[in-house]
Amino acid sequence: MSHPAPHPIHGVGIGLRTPHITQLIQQPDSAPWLEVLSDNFIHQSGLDLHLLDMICAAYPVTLHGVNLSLGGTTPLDTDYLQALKQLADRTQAAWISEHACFCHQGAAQSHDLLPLPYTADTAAHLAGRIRQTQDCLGQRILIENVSAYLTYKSSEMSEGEFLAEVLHQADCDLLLDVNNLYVNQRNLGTDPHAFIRAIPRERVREIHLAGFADQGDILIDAHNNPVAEPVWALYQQVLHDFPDTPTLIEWDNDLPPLQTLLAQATRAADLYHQTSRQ
Amino acid sequence: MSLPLARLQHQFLQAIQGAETSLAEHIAPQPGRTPTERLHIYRRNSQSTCHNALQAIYPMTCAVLGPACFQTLAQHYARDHPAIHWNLNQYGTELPVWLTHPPDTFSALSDLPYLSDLSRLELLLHQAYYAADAAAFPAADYAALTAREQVQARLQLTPATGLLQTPWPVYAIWQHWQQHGTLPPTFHGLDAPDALCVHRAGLQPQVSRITNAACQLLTQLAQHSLATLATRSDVASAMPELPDYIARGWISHFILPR
Repeated sequence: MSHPAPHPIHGVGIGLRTPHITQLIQQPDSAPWLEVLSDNFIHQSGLDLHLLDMICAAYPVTLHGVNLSLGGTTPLDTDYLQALKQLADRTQAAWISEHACFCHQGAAQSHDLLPLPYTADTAAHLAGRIRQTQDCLGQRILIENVSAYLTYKSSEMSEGEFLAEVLHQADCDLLLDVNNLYVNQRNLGTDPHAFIRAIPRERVREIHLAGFADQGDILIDAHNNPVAEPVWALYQQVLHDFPDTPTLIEWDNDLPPLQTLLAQATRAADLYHQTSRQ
Repeated sequence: MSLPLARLQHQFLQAIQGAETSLAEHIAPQPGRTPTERLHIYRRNSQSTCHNALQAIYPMTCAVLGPACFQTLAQHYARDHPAIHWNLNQYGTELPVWLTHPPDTFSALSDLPYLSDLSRLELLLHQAYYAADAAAFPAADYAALTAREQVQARLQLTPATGLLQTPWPVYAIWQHWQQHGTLPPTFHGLDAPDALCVHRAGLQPQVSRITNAACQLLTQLAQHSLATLATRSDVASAMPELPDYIARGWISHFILPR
């Protein structure tokens, strides 16, 4: 069975969230593209899948997952990967993205994105599992840099150097989360500019923007607020290095009306077009 | 000496679930919070995610208890039933049973004897929403059976169909919640007891009141042949309703004995 080519992804999209689905179907030009949380639809049926089909008829989509545990040591869940591949076929997703982290160990689930030590061994381990995933899915995937609240004594390199090595070894692309760069700068004293310098330009295929929860001495990557001003400033700098990179506004908790998300997307689109190569 | 990756990840998950580990010794010191405090951030994130998942499945139970009590209850529940599946829609399925024998801390729950059945109804609605789609009952195939085969058949409920018998007025409470988004001001005087069938009408979960005989029949349908059920006095009165249950999409297929 042949499939039509996936829809092109350009400009600034928003993350698809259930309370907004009906409005997005009724107003099909609301955003140039949408990012679908794959875990919300894998193995699903009924109303959710019906609505997803309607969304995919109206918008180009990408798939974004949080549960593959690419950096984990428990064997990859091949049933999950097969279901993800079926979902990608069904939605004609332009690409699939995941995170450079681990989520579970054995049966124990964290439902969070847990940090890896930045060592050569871990980079090889992560890259191997990404290759296995790409072989199963039949396509190159994107991996996202995660926010973190700690680092390990055993780390041998910076996050940027670590991910550059993984991108090289796995031959995959990067989803650059600018909010996570800023959160890590504040929480861990890392240098976002050093991170950007370490990443090969041709590997950056998507950018994420989101809001954090400010606890004073620490920032929580809660996706529950508008994008913060320092993150907008960093995004502008990132766009100079990676112009025309499709960008996405993420908002998961304390979800506002769709118009609020679209206003954030409009602000990002203004910056996106200002720095466009065109 | 650094931890092997698998050992580090095992300890991280243990720490998130509240166990004492030596992981903090392997975390780089940073200004501000200590390594242990930084690990606690992940623990709170995980607790918050599980609490939110539980609240999404059990909004009426949460409303009965109040947000603060429900949050404490969610933490205790998570200790007894930590998340073991990546799909959060599968988290919290043991809560109705857990509520029948809660820890001593929640002895006050004995004043809310209806709570377990109310949460059971919420779980059935949640499961009906996410249940696998089912094809329509193969009426032509059933009609093509011999008369003997027809009565030997065992009818199977659709994955979205669930049943609840309760001495408490949970249907009236749910109806009020549907109409007003709040609990009834008092539960006294509400219709009880209830026998309920939770099912999917089209794509949306629905609750239908049924007789006790119908509830018994539907509960035992998969285990016994129609011939056997027809001899049972506790379910016989509901047997004529079977075509209606099939028409309403509660029954998806039949199985013949070998």
